[in-house]
Amino acid sequence: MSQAVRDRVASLLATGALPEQGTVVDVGGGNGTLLAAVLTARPALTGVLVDQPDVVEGAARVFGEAGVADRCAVVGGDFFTAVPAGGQAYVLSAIVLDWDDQSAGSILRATARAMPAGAVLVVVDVVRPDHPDEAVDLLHVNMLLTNSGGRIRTAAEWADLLGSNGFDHIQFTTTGHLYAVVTAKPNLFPAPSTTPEGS
Amino acid sequence: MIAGAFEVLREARVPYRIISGADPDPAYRHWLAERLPQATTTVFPASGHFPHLSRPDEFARWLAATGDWPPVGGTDPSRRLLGLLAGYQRTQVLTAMVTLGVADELAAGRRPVSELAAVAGAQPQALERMLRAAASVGLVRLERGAGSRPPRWGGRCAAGRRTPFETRCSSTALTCTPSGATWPIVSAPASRRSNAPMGSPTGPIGAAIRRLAPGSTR
Repeated sequence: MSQAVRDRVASLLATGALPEQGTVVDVGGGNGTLLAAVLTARPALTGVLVDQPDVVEGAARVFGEAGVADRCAVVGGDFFTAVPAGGQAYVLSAIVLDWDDQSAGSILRATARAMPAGAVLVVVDVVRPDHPDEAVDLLHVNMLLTNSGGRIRTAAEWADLLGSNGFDHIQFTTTGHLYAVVTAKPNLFPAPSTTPEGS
Repeated sequence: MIAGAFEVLREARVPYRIISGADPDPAYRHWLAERLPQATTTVFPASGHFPHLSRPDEFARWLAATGDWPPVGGTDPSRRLLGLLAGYQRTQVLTAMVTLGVADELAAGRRPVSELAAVAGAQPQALERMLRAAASVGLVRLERGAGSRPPRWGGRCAAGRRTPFETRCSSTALTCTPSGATWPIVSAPASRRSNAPMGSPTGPIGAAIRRLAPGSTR
């Protein structure tokens, strides 16, 4: 596990943003490293991993090694169009900063549509302070080279983005790490949904 | 004045660690011990003139282990390491400042970022991003101009507005001011602007900023 993922797991667990039980859907969760760590720390949670089909291929091994395979479903999909419905918490960890407002909006709306009333969105991402911050500002300028359209948003810009794409009750928690935790509640309720099932 | 500074540091018991590439001279050790008894010396053998760059991991650990750091942002070792790893971005921001002509524009003093973008042929948002990086390394100061508008919030953002972050909107009219101490060295005569390193006229960050400019082909 990279230090960046370790920091994000620590932020997720320390801020109390996740429920103690229920299903956590990790949207764009890669090979499942973060979700496996979360499920290890919270034995009453079950998980759903969502990412592109070729990306989630490695997840079975990650979940097996962590001993959480029996509590975790894996879904290959496209987070711009649809996200599995019915979870209690939806995690977007270091996803939104990679995308411009339009693409990020698509991801957020697809997620909001999947979320029942009472579910919580938990974004683990960089929130840019308004004052100069060397680590954040130099990372941000580097993204001009490495990333097409991605950006690091201020709290006001995060609130704009979330508020325009299906969320309210937006709250920020600093963590001391590079990654802050932003929570929000959906206001695009879907048709009554079922608990996600997976392999 | 230096003697006074040592007195303040000694009285406040400010933690003080010297990280060096070789054993310090005994006379220096003695001189320092008299002035700052709390100072400790750590040697990274054969790490040259820049031990913090030769062994950033080790440096970050020692830094974290020195004194009581306040428990908020900027103190996390991985965050500090990220700052150390960004040496290339620091030099490239400096290169782009010069080769885009921004440094020369600023030599006369404060300018609106929008004007600087026009001069540099740059997309204003991309230039602002670069100038924020320049501000974070102490090259310039950014300030809100007269045309600033208050924070803009999403229509549905009803609750949870108060945050521990500053929430003023960033994309307002900004002005940029050179920071005095470094400026005479940063600005370059126009004749030297094109002598950028890295094989391109502007360096990669400057090129990216120009590529994003309105009317350019991407």
